[in-house]
Amino acid sequence: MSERQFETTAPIRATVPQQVMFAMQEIAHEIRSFVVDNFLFGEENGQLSNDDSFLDKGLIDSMGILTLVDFVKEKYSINIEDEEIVPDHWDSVQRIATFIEGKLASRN
Amino acid sequence: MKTLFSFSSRVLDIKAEAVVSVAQESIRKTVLHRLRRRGAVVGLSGGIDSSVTAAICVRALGRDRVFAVMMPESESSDDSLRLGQMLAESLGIASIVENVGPTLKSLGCYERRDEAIRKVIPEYGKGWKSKIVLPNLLESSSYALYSVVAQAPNGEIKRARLTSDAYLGVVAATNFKQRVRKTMEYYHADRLWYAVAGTPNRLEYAQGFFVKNGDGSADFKPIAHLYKTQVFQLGRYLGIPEEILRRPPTTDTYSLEQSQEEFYFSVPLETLDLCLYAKNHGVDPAEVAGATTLSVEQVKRVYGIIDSKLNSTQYLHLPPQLVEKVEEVRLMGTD
Repeated sequence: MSERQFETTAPIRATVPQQVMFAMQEIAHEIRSFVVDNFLFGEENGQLSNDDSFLDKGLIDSMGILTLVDFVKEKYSINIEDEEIVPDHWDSVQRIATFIEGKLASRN
Repeated sequence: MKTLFSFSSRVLDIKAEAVVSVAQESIRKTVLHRLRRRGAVVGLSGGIDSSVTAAICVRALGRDRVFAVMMPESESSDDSLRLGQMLAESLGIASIVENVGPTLKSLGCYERRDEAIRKVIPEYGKGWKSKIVLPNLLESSSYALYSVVAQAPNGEIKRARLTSDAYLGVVAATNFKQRVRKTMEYYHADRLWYAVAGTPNRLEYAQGFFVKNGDGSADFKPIAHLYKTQVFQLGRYLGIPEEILRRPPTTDTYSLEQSQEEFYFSVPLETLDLCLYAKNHGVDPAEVAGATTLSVEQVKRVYGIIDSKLNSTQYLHLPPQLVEKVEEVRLMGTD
């Protein structure tokens, strides 16, 4: 990402949350693209919001979760423990993005 | 949801004599008239389902019109062959032992499977044994994620969560077993002009516990409408040998001993049986909890597992899909 993308008129102290927000949006966008490509086969048609539950929508089963976990693990170079693979972290685009952000933050 | 009866495990009690009588009539009509075949081939695994299927076929068609095939391979339990032979003998039916091990080896079944396991356990190799397991989903709201459990030649046990490509690789390779066995059953069916009997019970059939074009393939499935518990009741009525009745259900697919609960259902079969019945009949989870050792929350989880399996295994039930209906092909019995 270029330096220009972080230009802001806000005070210096406010740039951290903005960066976090940017990172979250970026991550959510990447997860969303992966989900649309792999589970909606590119045909999104506005039917998936970032807060939609994959389980409620019948979008992703256990095999799908395995695929998502593999993608996230590789893409963001994070370790994911078995006990972390629960709907609280994996049942929507937003939840996954929040989970990844938390993992990345705890690594720094 | 309100039900008009008091829910208990007794709901699965059946009048075995009447159920067998209906199945006999159906088999006769199906095999002899609709399918126009002279008899039935049954693959015997030494388990309760194939034993009951064979016994009902004998009642329906006569012992001279039922042919049993036992198909051991290098990783199947010795009990499977021994009990299959015992059943064929007790029913007085013709049978054959077909060792499918060399065919599986030449297809690369074992080597491909081992290669897939090495993606998560790199040291896995010759002399190791393995099985695939699921977590106990009653205890938490986790996903049904498969792990491989492997035993080294020195007895050391290793467990690793499967990645998606490792899981698919293991399943694709082990599915050779069910598909080769079915190929062998159809060989005998073709040479005898018989139909092939499928052996799934309702739990397996509804929850997609079968391999498409493997054990899921058959010309008729005479116990697919019966819950596992009911198949046991029929087994006792039909005089299936006690050792088969008492044998714990197993997939007999992996080299380490593995129960069906571990591989697929992840909850005890009797419990799932009762929950499937309850869900099919709109019974409130609170009533099911009162009749079992499960909490209301656990019953809800089982209902969720059942729904999830019904959705994710629909593909297994679908016949080849056509762009347009081919009008001139009219299937008997479907009009």
